[in-house]
Amino acid sequence: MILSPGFIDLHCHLRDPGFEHKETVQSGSAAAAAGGFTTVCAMPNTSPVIDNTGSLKILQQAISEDALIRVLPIAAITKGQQGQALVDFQGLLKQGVVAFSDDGNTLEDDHLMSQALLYSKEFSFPIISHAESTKFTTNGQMNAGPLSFALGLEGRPSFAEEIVVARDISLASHIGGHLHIAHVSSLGAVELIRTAKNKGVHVTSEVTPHHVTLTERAVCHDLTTGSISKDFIPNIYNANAKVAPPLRSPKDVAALIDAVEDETIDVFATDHAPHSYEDKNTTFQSAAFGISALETALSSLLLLVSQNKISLKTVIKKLTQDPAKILNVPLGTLSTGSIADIAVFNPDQSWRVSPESLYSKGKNTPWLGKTMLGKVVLTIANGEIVYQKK
Amino acid sequence: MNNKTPQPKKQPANTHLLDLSELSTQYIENIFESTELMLAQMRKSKPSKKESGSLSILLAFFEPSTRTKISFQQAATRLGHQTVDFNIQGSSLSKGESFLSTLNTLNSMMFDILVLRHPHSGAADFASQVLNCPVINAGDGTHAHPLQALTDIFTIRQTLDSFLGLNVVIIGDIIHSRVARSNIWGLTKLGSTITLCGPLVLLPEKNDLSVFYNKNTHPRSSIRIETSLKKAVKNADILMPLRIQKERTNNIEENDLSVYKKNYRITEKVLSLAQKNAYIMHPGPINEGVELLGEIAYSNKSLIFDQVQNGVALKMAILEMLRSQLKERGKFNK
Ligand SMILES: [Zn+2]
Repeated sequence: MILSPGFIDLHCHLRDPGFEHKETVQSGSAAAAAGGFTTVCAMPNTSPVIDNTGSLKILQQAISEDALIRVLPIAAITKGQQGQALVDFQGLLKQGVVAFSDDGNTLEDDHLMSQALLYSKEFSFPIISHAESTKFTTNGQMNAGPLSFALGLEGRPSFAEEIVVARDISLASHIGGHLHIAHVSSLGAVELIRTAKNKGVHVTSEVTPHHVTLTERAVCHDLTTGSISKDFIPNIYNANAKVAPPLRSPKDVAALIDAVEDETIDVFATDHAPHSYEDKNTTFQSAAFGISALETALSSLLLLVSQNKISLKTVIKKLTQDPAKILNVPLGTLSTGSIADIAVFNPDQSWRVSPESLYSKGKNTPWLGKTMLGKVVLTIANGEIVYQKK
Repeated sequence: MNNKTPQPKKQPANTHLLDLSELSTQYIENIFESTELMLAQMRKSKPSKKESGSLSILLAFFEPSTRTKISFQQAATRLGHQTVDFNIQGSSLSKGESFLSTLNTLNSMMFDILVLRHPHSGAADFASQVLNCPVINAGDGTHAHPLQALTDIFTIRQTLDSFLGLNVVIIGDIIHSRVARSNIWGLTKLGSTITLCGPLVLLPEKNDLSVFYNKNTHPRSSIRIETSLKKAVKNADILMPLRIQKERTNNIEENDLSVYKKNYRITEKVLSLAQKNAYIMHPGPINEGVELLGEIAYSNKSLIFDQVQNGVALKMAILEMLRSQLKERGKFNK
């Protein structure tokens, strides 16, 4: 049994307000608690978008009524996440917003991105970049490569991520501010971030549990990450492995793991993206992007621990202390006097990922039907038990 | 409604015909032997021997097609089966209703076989997980067109001695071609060499082809990429020009077509560079004068009409195999 500070997720989609059929603050925070999280940051791509104090109030109302754990709002960088006009950063910060992101979309306008970084510099908050060049990803369904060709699915090339990461880093190096790259997925992006950090640019980054544990082969229900088996025939489509940025090649996965170890990647963040049954159960091309990840995050990361690819200490640090540092909040620690946010988990307990086992409304995970190791047994948020394994 | 949840397939189920990637060479050979019988009956203008049990076949075309559908109707008619032609485009069933709901509705109607054409890659795989009856993939997006590829490969088998060491050159819009992909899967099981030829914007990368090599690949098979048509057709036994799929591509602009024609159109001169007994094949429809000159398409170097006729016989063979499988398992819906 392991006792840890409660986990902190820099990146999740609670879908509330507007998409309550996918998730709500209530169901999402219950899923978070079951996954050992005591703090999550909610992305603003809701309806309405969280881009002004009015819509923020709607979200905060739901949080105060329904949230089992601490939910910190992230607001959009541009109004309606349309990439046209910046939001009122100062006003939103005053009302409790912790970071800004157009996540779901990439802020394509170079000039607006530079202005946003100036505000970040002035008021000290992270600008979280979903880095995928729109022109190269408009119709893309999965990682570009042998599999996308064989399956006849348009690809999302890794350079689509690289070129936006390169732009963002270039801007941040000249302008300053705190740039945070969301869900890094490619070897190329890792190398750019590593170089930038070495030069002293204020850039931080996150990786999701699925991008470090799965390859593009998950699209064909193959959850192995080693070299490709001679038995592998790419002829089935699993929309639960459809995500943006996409799951990539074994090379990318290896680079991401290295980047976690050498601190190029600062934290694990779930990019929990729940969807309804209807959103995913259709052709691959029609299916929505996203993986429901709050409840499988710990188990998938423990898989890397059992394979000796990363240490348990790193997993915990990058789920607690390091995200707290990025948010600049006094959380993620068990030191005397700190807030009682605690997760207790049994790393050896096996459990089967089934629709019934998940508190999230989103059952859309490539791990569905699989047995995983590592289960949270108790979560305490702000001194109260919010989850206890039956 | 009893919405069936799609389930991952445990094993390649031969009850469906989704692509050549999952068919064994033995199964392909069985189809071809049966196709020969069907063809012989057709050519004698004999009505085909009607086996017991006529099937009710739904032709569900979510994308327009004339050839494949007519060919299927003809195959079914000759065997005494009933087809229901379901033009889903513009029908109430597709408007505002999800693909899953449509499939569940069709499932409730108890057809014996569903023939599906759909603009999305993977649609047939999805349908096969929802429906209780066999699904025949009549083309899904840019993924697979097993009926066409089996027809093509049967036509090669009918015309040439052996697949071993045979040089097949597929020319043109490879990245958007489900016919090319299915032919690659099939021909690499049989020992042929495939050359994919076209401008780089219409070709996969070399590395993209790695995934086509697996335990079922014939050791003598290989796939190569060649941008020069001259080099590609050297020693070619079969030339397979493809139509540029304007509806799927923005890689080739209208004014690039003249350049394309200059570099990749099959002319007498190009043909003279290939093997003496080289043949032209085309899955149709042809853009005459773009990828292929009309006079070659209709010359004695062309197998195009053989392909069309074989297509009917092959569909008959597949229907007959599915019928006997259904009968064995007592799975007739009526
Ligand atoms: Zn994102």
